[in-house]
This record gives sequence, structure tokens and C-alpha cells, in this order.
Amino acid sequence: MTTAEMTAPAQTAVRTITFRDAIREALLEEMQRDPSVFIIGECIELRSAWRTTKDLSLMFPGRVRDTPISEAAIVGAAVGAAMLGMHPVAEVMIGDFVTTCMDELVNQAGKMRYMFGGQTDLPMVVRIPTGMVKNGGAQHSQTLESWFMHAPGLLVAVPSTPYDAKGMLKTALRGRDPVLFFEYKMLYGIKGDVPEGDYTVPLGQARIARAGTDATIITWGSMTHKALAAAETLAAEGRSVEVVDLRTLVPLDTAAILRSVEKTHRVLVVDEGYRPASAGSEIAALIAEKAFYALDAPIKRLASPPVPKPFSTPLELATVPQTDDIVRTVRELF
Amino acid sequence: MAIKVGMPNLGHTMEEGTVVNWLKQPGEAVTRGEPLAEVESDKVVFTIEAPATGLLLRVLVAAEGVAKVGQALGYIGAAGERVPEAETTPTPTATSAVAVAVQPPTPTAPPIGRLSAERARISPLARRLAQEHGLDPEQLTGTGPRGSVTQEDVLAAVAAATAAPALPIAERRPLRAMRRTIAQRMTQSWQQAPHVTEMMEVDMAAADQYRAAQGLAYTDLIVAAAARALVEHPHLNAALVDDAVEIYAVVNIGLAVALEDGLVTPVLRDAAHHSLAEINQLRRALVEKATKGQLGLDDLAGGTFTITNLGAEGVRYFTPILNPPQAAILGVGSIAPRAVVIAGGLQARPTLDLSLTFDHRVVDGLPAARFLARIKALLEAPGLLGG
Repeated sequence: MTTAEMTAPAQTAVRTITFRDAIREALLEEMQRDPSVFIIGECIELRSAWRTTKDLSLMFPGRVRDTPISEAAIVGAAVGAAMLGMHPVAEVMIGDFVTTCMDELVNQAGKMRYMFGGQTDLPMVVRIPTGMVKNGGAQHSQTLESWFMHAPGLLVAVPSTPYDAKGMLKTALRGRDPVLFFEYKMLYGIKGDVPEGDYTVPLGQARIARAGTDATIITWGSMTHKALAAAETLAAEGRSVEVVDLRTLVPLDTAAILRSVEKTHRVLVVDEGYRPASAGSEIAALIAEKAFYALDAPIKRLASPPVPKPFSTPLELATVPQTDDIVRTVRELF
Repeated sequence: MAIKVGMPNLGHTMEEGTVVNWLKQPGEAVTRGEPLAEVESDKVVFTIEAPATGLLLRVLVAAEGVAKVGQALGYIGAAGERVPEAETTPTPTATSAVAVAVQPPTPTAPPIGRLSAERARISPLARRLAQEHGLDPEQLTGTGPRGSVTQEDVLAAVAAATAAPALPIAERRPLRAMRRTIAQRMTQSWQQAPHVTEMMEVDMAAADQYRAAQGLAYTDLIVAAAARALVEHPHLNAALVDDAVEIYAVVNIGLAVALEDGLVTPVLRDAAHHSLAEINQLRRALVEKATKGQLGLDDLAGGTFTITNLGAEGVRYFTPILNPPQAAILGVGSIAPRAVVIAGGLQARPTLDLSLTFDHRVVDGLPAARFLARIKALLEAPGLLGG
């Protein structure tokens, strides 16, 4: 597993920058550091749809490449390049369309090293802008990261803060395994403290986003922020809620999950993805298996109902867990 | 054919159950699976669901009624259908089992009544904890989600089971300032000073005459005797302060005066230099102020030695606790005629018992005994106390 040690940033300034700028900074610094890093995707070279690759094509001529609209081609090319020693960064501009390159990911990237008897590594990162933003509609709003927990050989990163986004993307780019790097579009604009210069955050280590004693919310990515807001509301009611931000779904930090459940005895899993057979389902099952006798209430889950995301704003909001839903569900644990 | 609604078997040990409540009235239409009646075993309440669709034709066992397991509680059937008046011979479970063995029930055989009651909700953690503490979680009242028994409920039950039965409290009085001061000073004294108490009997025959003649109280003589003796034995008019024994240059005698809820110790200053008459006057003034609650701080501060008297209640000897930081306290017992050997013969003489407690860090036993003997000598020859 690619779980590099966390490296402390050198003595450098810490700025407050956006999630998207943190991503761009990681790409920029890694391209400077390693000439084998390059980026391919749609709408990243001449202009950057998400502004995460802004001006990089000017700074690194030939290493930021626009492609035709074919995610299968983008990811397939990245798999081949990675096998031959490059460090490709493939961008799937709209995460929903990761479905068009499932074979390249699931059957090729995830299995190459195994099938070729360890003769090749797959040092590649697939960046997947994901999740709901306002009025994205049914094909531009989905959160499909749980699908890749199911497929062997793929790492799944789901950062929630600018700090983690930069540090984890660097770790992903320096590893030997294909990493699916989910970037929640809802988070691109949030700001956080990010050190200048080099540091890394390991893949596979959850983060206690807020410590608490009465109940645990396990979540990741965009939902981390809603969980923290809910925990604040619940604190005013005298409930001390711990928020565990998983940071990665593969590897899954089961020790951190179980530790928190053993401490609080009550748990809610919050997942932006569709509820059936979701990442939240897997985590709930894990807790039921490993921490059953620590539970003082049934495990609760919050996730999106399995319906196409509506375009209408009120309906759209109703199909993704909101802070109020989290508050209400935590109350039901008591 | 009308279908019997029987008393369900709710557990191996159940022989009979009580009908809590009928949820349908006789003559009312019921649908198969609909809640029909609530019955109670010695453990739980269960809801019987209607075994068939039809009319509730008859209720044989009304609410509060008791029925054996298997006994008919009522019948469901079509309008006008005849049903038995009552079932006098309940079907024992064992017999049913035999019957089943001989003739397997057909799929159409009416169920006795399906149990819809849920298993008690007990969280896994609560169940584990209950097991660890030897409790039956089924017996606990749940306060968790949907009435489930939680960790908190088990821990409360454990606490209730292990807590010593609380003694009934008639009244709870928070310590008032004086009580708190007494408590604090007595604890301090008891913990810090090694207490030794010596007792001695005094022949008060002469003192009795002297007192009567001079119009004094016994206490005046005792105060005077103690004051004079302290001048001669200054190491008992002392205190241990830090690493030194400090011997006071004055003799200020504290007189413990009992009040309704506590005691105060007003101080008779410079007692060694007062005549008996002055002592009498000063003492009476202090006691009066004390009982009226009029003592000022000046009256209470500066004692170097204390006298405490329980004689009025018949106490002969006791072990007073030092009044810190003072090194000695004199306990005064009762004065009463007692048999005393004088010149080889018995005489009834008024006698007084004195108890002297001293701080053994400051004084040793022999000097303390000599001091006490000096008081005895002065009281037995009160003329020495000088008018």
C-alpha cells in the first residue's frame, strides 16, 4: 500500500488558500520536482475548467495536454504511460463520466502489477472532480468513489481540506499504485491553511477533525464540513460529537474507526454517495463486525437516495445529506 | 368453523397468563394479523394477532382474567356461527405435542395466535456489560433509542445494586460558621498535637467552706488555682509555634461556655493578677455575654490556657481536646461527696475530679503531673489563693 510517512513542512510560511489552489500547487511543485509528471485531460491546457491547472501549460510546455472528449482514452493512455515509467496525472473533468473508463481502471490499472508478476508499477493519479454543485443535473453531480472500493488494486483518496489536498496529492504522485483522487467540486472554493513548499500527508490515516465523547460521525470529503457544523450545533445541546475524516477510503483506516466507536459507543456514517452498497454500507458493516459489543445504539447511515440528482435546487438539496439531517440523525442515536 | 384464539405459550416456564386488554369488542370485525388482545405472562406483555379474518364471536376470558396456556380466550368466525360457551378443560401443551406427532397439522390448521411482541431492545454494549455484572438485561428499563436498554441503564442498575442502602436522614444541617470553626480547630488539634490526659482527685471540703464564706463559685477557685499554678509552671502556659516552644508572659484563661449549638471560649485576661472577687466578677460578665451572644473579638482572642467544665452533668473524668495552639487544657468534673480514706477511716468528702490534657510535644508527663498536683494543693488549701 502506498502509505508514505507524513513529512513535516520545512520552515515556510503558511498561507490561507483555496482547495483548488492547493491542488494546483501540488501539481506545480511535483512537475518541478519530477520531469516524468505530466497531465492529460479535457480542457486543461488552453483554459482550465476548474482552474486547477491554470497556467501550468505555459510553465511546463508539452507536459499539460488537452485530449479529445474520451475519458477512456485519457485513462487508457495514462495506464500505458505509467507502465513505461512516467507519472501521469489524468483528469476526468466531470467525475460522473468515470463510468466510461471503468475497464481501464478496474481491469487494467488495478490488476497490471498482479497479472504481470510484479514487472510493472502503476504510478498514476486519476483526478476526479466529483459530487454535487449547484444545479449540476443528473450527469454532473454524482459521487461514485464507493465503486472503486469494490475493485482491487486501486487507491481511493477523498481529501476534505486544502492542507490534505496538497499533501495527499503529492503522496499519490510519488507512489507506485494507481490512485483515484476525488476532488469535491463543492470544496474547490473553501479556504484553509496550507504551508508553502513541500510536505506530504500519508494515504490511509484518518484524521480526527473534531474530538468528542458521546457519538462518532464517520465521514470524508464534502460531508466532513457538514458533519463539523452539525457537531457544533449538537455541542450547544450538550452532546460531544467526534468527527472522523477518513481522508482515504482505500486504504481504509479501520483502526481509527474502531477506536472512535469504542470510545463513543454511538456512530453515524455520512456519505454523499448513493446509499445502497455504498462506502457507508461497508463502514457500517465493518463496525457491526468488529465493534458490535461496543455499540450502545444501532449504527446509523446518511447518504443520498438512489435517484437521479434533480436539477431543481430544492429537490437537489433534498437528495444529499444536509447539516440538519446530520443533527437530527445524531439525536436519534440517544 | 369458528377459530379459537388461545392463550399463547410465552416461554418454557409459563403455565398461565392474564388477559390485559381486548383490543376488539365481541361482534366486531377483525382482519387476520390485526392486533386482537394483549396478554401478560409473569415477564412481558404480548399482543395476540387475529389468527383469521371474521367476526370476534365471543370473548371467553375478559380483561384481568387468567387462562391456562392453550385455553380458549375467544373465537373468531362467521356471523351466526355457534361457538362453545366456555372451555373448561384446557389443552395441555404436552398433549398437543403428542397429537402433532400422530397427526401432522394440515396447512389450514388455525394457529393458536401469532406473537407479535418484539424481543426486548438491548444494545450489544448493554448486553455485554449486563453479563459482566451478572444482571439480566431483560429486567432493565430502557431509556435509549426506541426504549432500548443502553450502557447508561446497565450502569445505573449496577450502581443501584451495589450502593449501600442509604440511611434515612431526618434533617441535614449545613455547618454554620461556629460549627465549622469548631470542626476545623478540633481536627487540626487532634491531628497535630499528641494528646495525653492525666486525672487527679481533689478534696474540696475546705474549698467548699471557703467558697460559701466568700460568696464565690467553685469555678472561681479553680480559675484562680490554675492561674497561680501556671505562673509557677510556665511551661504549661505555652504553645509550640513552628520549631519553638513559646512560653507566654501572661496568663489568659479561656473558659469554655456551652451554647445551644456549639461552644465559645471567652478569655479571662491576666487571671494570675486578679483577686478571687475580681475573677468572680469578670467570669460572670463573660459568661453572661457569651450566653447572650454579645462577645466581641477582644473577649475571644488571646487565651493561653483553657478550662472546660462538664461537672454539672455528672461527668467525673474526660479527655479534653487541646484548644490550639495552647499546650494544655483543664477538664473539670463533678463535685460530689465521695468515700475518702482519711487517717485510716472512711469519710464522705466533697471531691472534684480534674482531667488535664497536655501537648506531649511541649510538656512531658511528670511536669504536667506536678502542675496538676499544684492545682490540687491550692484547691485543698484555698487560703493560699489569697482573697
